[in-house]
Amino acid sequence: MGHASGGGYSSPGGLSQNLGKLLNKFPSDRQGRLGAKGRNKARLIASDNPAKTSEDVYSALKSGGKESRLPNGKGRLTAFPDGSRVIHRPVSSSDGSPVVEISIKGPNGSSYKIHFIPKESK
Amino acid sequence: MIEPNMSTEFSDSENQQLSELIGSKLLFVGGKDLPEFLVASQIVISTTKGALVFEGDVVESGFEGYVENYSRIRVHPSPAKEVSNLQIRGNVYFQHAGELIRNVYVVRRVITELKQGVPSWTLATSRAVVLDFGTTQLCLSKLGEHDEALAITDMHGFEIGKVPETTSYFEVDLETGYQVHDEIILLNDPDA
Repeated sequence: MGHASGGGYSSPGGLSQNLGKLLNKFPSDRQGRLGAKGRNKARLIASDNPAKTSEDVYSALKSGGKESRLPNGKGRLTAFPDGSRVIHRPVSSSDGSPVVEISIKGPNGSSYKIHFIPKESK
Repeated sequence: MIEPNMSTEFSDSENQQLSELIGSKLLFVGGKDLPEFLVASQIVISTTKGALVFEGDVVESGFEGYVENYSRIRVHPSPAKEVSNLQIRGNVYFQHAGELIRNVYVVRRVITELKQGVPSWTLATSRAVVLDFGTTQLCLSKLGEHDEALAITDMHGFEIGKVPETTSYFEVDLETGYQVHDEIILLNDPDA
């Protein structure tokens, strides 16, 4: 094997651990999925500033991963060595709201997305 | 072959580009943001017959009854300058370098949703490309059915079960189930 591409890592940690740190700050379900149940398999987090909240959640989740811009310009992806990843899309295709997509690999893995919406529209 | 309601399979042009790798030797695998664990949304495979860029992308569709993203691997030739930049920056990995690509396989997946046992939709996708060196293989595959992540996996003997499983939002419940069918497509050697 060659050598790693330069930089992009932050402090060590997996996506599951990063997620665990957010569970007491936002609504979640019994499976440890962040956000409240929404429509069409999506989850929801309501806040006064959805764009900022989505950025804050993504920033907290990406710690320890390798971040890159998506080649289609639709956001950023942070990948972890076990194949887990988190994606931030500032504008979703469905309703235009910011979205964070979480995919955790492994036997207790899960894959879901969270739409960030204004508080009054929940 | 099952006719899908939705397809994110390789185009004829992409299959042609992949088949043209047959008979070349692998030079390296790289990517501007490809870490040593080889997961990223853009990966370059460079060979003695040229380099291809594999990009994770998503396609929007409403076939499930609402708009959702469905992942697709896009393939196109890599400009020589980009290949050279990868080498200069050292964003390259030399696993299997110098090995002859004897065959190229595409792994096609068809997912069928069943509502109370009755098919409601099918999604067909090209989920992986396998470069076959004989006893060993290099696999480039999607990691999810709804996102852009791609992974490179090393194989000693190709089996579909060794291709990394994809994550998805498809959830089984009392009335909803999913059938998943994988098939291996051997691409024709254009020089044969």
